[in-house]
Amino acid sequence: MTFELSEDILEAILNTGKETVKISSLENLVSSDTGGFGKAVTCLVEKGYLNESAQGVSLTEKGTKKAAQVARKHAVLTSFLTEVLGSEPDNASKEACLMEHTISSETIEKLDTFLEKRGPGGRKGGYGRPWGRRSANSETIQKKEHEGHVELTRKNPIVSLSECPEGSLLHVSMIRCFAKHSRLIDLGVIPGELITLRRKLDNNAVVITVKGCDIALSPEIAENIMVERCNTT
Amino acid sequence: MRKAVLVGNPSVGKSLIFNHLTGLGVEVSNYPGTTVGLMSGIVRYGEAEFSITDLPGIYSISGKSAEEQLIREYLVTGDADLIVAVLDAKHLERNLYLLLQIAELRKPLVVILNMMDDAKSAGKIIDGAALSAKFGVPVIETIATEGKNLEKIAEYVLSEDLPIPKIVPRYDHHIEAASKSLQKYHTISEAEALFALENVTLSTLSPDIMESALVIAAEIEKRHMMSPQQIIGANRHNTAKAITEEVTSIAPVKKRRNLDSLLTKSFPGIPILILTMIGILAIVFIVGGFLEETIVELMTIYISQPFHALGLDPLLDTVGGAVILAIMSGLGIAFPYVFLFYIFISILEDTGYLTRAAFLADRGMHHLGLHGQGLIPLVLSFGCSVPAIMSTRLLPTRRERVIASILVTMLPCSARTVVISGIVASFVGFGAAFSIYGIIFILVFTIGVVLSKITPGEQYGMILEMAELRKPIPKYVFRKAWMRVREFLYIAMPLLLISSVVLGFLEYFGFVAMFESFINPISYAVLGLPGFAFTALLFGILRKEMAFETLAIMGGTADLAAILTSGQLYIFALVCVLFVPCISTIAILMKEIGVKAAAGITVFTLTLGISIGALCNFIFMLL
Repeated sequence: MTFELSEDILEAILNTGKETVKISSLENLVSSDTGGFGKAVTCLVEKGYLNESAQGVSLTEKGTKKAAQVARKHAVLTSFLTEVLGSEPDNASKEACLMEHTISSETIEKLDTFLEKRGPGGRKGGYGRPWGRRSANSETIQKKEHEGHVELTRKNPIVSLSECPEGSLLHVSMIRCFAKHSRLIDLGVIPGELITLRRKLDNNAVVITVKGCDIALSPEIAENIMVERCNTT
Repeated sequence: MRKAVLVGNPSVGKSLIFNHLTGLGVEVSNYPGTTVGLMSGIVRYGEAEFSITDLPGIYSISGKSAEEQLIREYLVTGDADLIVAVLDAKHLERNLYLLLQIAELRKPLVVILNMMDDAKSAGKIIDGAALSAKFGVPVIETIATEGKNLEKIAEYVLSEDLPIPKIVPRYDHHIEAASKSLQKYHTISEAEALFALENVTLSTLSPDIMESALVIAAEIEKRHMMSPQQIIGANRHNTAKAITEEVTSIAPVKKRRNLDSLLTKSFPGIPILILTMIGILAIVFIVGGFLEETIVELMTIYISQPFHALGLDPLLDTVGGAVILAIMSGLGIAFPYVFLFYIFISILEDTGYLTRAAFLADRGMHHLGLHGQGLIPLVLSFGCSVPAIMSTRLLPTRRERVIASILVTMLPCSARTVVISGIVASFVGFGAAFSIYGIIFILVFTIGVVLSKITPGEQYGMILEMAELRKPIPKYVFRKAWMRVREFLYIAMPLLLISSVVLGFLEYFGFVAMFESFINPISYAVLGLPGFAFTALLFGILRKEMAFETLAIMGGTADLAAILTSGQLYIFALVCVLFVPCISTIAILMKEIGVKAAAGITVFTLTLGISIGALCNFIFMLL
């Protein structure tokens, strides 16, 4: 695919950090087994992404912008694959290489926001934005009340509801594929809410207690509810 | 005449209150969404009269489900004079969410705080007066199961000036600004502006209002990383929480035994579930079978036989006989099976066990493209397909309703079991009878798996509130079962009568004989059955076990083995069980999922029955 190949070329030039890159070394950087390399470069030059000179090729302003976009997609995807899904870094980078060409800018923005919000362990390294900082239902980290006045602390990783053990007290962080589950808001399952996992079957169907009511959820819904465990101290 | 509507979450006692006020039989239900459709009744209070309508239980009026849309439209544009919002005092906070939405409509409102006794035993004392002050409308504290304070509702409905709620929930300032500008620009109410921001449709919101709301909503979503729907929802929940804290004081909790530790665990929950289902089936089967026999026998002796003994004109005799036959078929199913089954289902619903059963069954149902709730129709179908299809209303999406309906029509109902046991078990052998069940179960499973892959429509997971466990009240259980039997009779009787009379005519004028001689070679070639057996199959459409009876009549002997080989009997039973559901089932299918889908199912089962029969015939010939 010339389209993917040209994106790879732009990205590769940007990654070298050099102004000008020799055509031969560029060809090595871009693992292209098809013969379209030369054609792709010519095409990029024609479209105004690259300047060709005797020393090699360099990015135009337009080219730099495009390359940065692709590189960003790559970075966001790699970080998502490694940190959220737990893939091996090497594989993640390769997969990201394949995905970066087809993913829409909109999705990448959403993914980036998701990662930024992930907080501890997020791609920003240190402490990212805490969950729910922007949520209308602002919640303090320390919380009294709920089930007999216990002191709660939350410094735990964000996991899906299906991964928590029975009986745990949880803080709802986010609901994925939200539009599909708008009934959850009506029942009070919203970011910032404290819920108890009453029952979990071995297929991960769960019963949670929200606002004093028991709600049964099938596995595919439970896995879309991201929560943080609260330690009762 | 004044008009009041009852609104509230599912299973807060709305239907019970409605029942109390109108004295008209409607169902009280624990299962979310069973009171589909609007039930209305007239209340006489002293000299005055007013009408009251019971709306389906909902959690929100800004949702996209059919019920929520209907109720939203009705409340905003309908002609109700007073909205009566019913709240469950024990779960006040969750219930206040809906109340806030309703209060924002700024329509006359009265609040009923029901289940005050439950709340008290759960350690919550709610100050109705404080709640009333918050909302600016009267609050009536009731215990609907005891009928306490319910007459006060009538007083408010009939009172001179109807109270308009005054509460103003606080929203995020972006939402408030957006709502203000929408109100100003398009001259709509605050409630309408919020609906528009939440992107829900309403007939009073024109496309350009929706469009401008959509633009603002996108802007807000960008800023908050949350859709306005989510923000508004969260704001309302916060308001509800704040109000609840203000009006609730804590009382000592009465310790109650929590059966859920048994009922919702895989063990012993699943064995309990299986035992319950088998138990119900066994009782309905044995008692229902006995009752059916008694009913049919009594009607034969006291109605059918005396009628034929009158010696009327042969045409009249045929028509009259056909009418009696239809009535016998209808009553023979309605009372023994439908009524009994519904008594059990009502008990399961009213105790709250049904929601637990649905939770446990969710996993198995997934293979068939259904969710936990799909268990109920499938279990019911062993008794009678008609109530089973009626119960598909419990399912949330049309996709699931269609899949469940198809599977239900294939599973052997009690009448088909009579055919299997009467023909195959008696004349061929028990092993053969079981093999028919085996074939059916394999077919049902395969078709379920295939359907779950190919049926169009979105697949939602299960989000189901577990109803509180409580003791059922016999009066309401019977009333609910009776309502459903009545519904069944209304739907099935006319069709049964018509088809029975038509078949009578056809027989009288010799069309049946003509058909028989016409079908005989085809029937032989395809199924290996003589023509009269095929006619018997056709009669099975009226009532499945009639295929068995007609076969005996047409063959001229009750000893079927004398007229047909075991292979033929086996094929006869197999085809009879699979092909075309009975008339009552077709009637109910048309009502529940539409004429087109009903016709599709009928043709599908017809084809399936004939082809499986033909396949069997082919295999037998090879052997």
